[in-house]
Amino acid sequence: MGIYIIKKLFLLLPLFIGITFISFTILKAIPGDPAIILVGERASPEDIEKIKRHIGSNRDIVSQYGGYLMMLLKGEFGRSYYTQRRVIEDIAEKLPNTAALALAAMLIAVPAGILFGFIAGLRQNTWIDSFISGLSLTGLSLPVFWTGLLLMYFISLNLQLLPPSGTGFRFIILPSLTLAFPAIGSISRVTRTMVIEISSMPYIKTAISKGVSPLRLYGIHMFKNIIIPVITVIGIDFGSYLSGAVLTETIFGWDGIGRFTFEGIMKRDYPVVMGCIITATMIFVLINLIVDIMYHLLDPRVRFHAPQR
Amino acid sequence: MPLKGKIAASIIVLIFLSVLFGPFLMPYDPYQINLDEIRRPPSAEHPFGTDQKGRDILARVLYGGRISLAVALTATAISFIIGFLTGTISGFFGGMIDLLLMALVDLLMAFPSLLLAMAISVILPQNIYTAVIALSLVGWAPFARLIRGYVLTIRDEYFIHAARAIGCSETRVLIRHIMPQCLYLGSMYMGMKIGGFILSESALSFLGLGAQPPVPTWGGMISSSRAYMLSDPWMILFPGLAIGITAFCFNIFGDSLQQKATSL
Repeated sequence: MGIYIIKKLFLLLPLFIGITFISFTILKAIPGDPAIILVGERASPEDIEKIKRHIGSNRDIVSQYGGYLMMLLKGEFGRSYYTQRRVIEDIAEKLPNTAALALAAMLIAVPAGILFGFIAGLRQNTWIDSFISGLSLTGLSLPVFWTGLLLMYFISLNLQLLPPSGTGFRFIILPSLTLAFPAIGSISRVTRTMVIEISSMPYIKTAISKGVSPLRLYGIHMFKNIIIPVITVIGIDFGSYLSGAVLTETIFGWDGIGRFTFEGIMKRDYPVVMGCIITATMIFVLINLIVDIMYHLLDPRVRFHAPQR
Repeated sequence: MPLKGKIAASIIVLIFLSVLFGPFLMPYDPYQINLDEIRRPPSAEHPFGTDQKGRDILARVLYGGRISLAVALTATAISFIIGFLTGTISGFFGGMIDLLLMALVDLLMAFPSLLLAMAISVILPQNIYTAVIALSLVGWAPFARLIRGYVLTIRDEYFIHAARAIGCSETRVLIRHIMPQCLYLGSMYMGMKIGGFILSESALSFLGLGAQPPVPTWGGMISSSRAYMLSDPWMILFPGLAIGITAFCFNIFGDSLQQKATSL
């Protein structure tokens, strides 16, 4: 177990180098000479040369990348073009808000998705199954920025039940609901598939013939086997939740890294955009690492029989 | 294919016909600003109402659909082609080529895909090709993974050995024997992914990345009418419905394809 985690952690290293290399390539492809952007169009050639030496854009590409990597390792994403604040500080400030939003969305999506999936799977091919399956697919098909705007229109502007935008506890309900919709869709779909698959397994038949109570049957025998694919799906989809956060946070004015990314995109504030994307990618990678480790904790079959890779 | 798949496919055909021929039949020009007719609610004259510049929203939804769907479908097709070539080559030749190509695929898949597409489109010049390039650069990786996996399962089949035995060159085996085998599975997978590409395109255009106003795109129409949402909700309602219905039909169609693929 310990060895497995250590192995996985070592595999993060090449991934980190690759991720930073791609972000470096994107940064290099930004139109315009950074030195000229810093000193302005009218600076003398000597000044431009001086700035180039200072920021190192006259060095060869490999040492530039090396410098960039060293910078990132020190936790430095550069400064915003507009506010001159260090991007890492802004991200550190806003990340807890995004985490709270994601957590709230998961607290809605996981129970709701599992419940809907259970109902649909146990009532396979009835009208209620078709209804839930249709609803799940709708959740996956509607653009989050649109459902967000509609929720805002109906619940906060028309019915005046909840505030439309801001950051804080009362404000979290609508954006987390928006973010939860597609998640409910994918979780209920995977739960439904698993319920159908598991229902015909011999151990379920054995449990039924032994006279196990329904609560124990669904709550323990089936649930234990469903939770693993659900966690997998959350891991896989987490990237799309992060992208969804960019749209949702923007609409609801939630002060997280999603809205920060959006503002960076609008103002072409490249250090902000790249800083946010590297952070989001690292989170995505870590979440999937945690999912991998959870497999081992939750499923003894993986622990004992997995081929040693 | 199940009935719902067929229904979804017919609606998709209907949507395609309307965005292709609809703009010719509309009495309004999607770009024509008409300040006498601003922010009119839906009526017989303007079934979807008019926007803040008096442009007919139905005309813009139809015309915008052309652009949004063209962008999404082109991006899907390019992703498919790149992914198909990479996947077949990687799986067939194996070794170092496979290792390098799959390392690249894994790397791309480590990014949240829409975020990477955003980062790429920010640095590109903004026009209708922006989203195509960004979505294709990101979208090919899962195709490559899937196709490679399939090639691995068929490359030791007897017909491949037979082809070699009668003297086919490696390139010929790859192009004439491996690739056609993968085409069926690949095109099914492509069908499953279109809905996702449509949603990604709408998100990029909502963020203002890609085609610039006044060119209508479904996502762009929603973002430029956001400020009028409280008084004139139809402005964002109809473009959003267009995205939702199209993506929904493609997803149902994709589900039916998947059922077919798993029963293979």
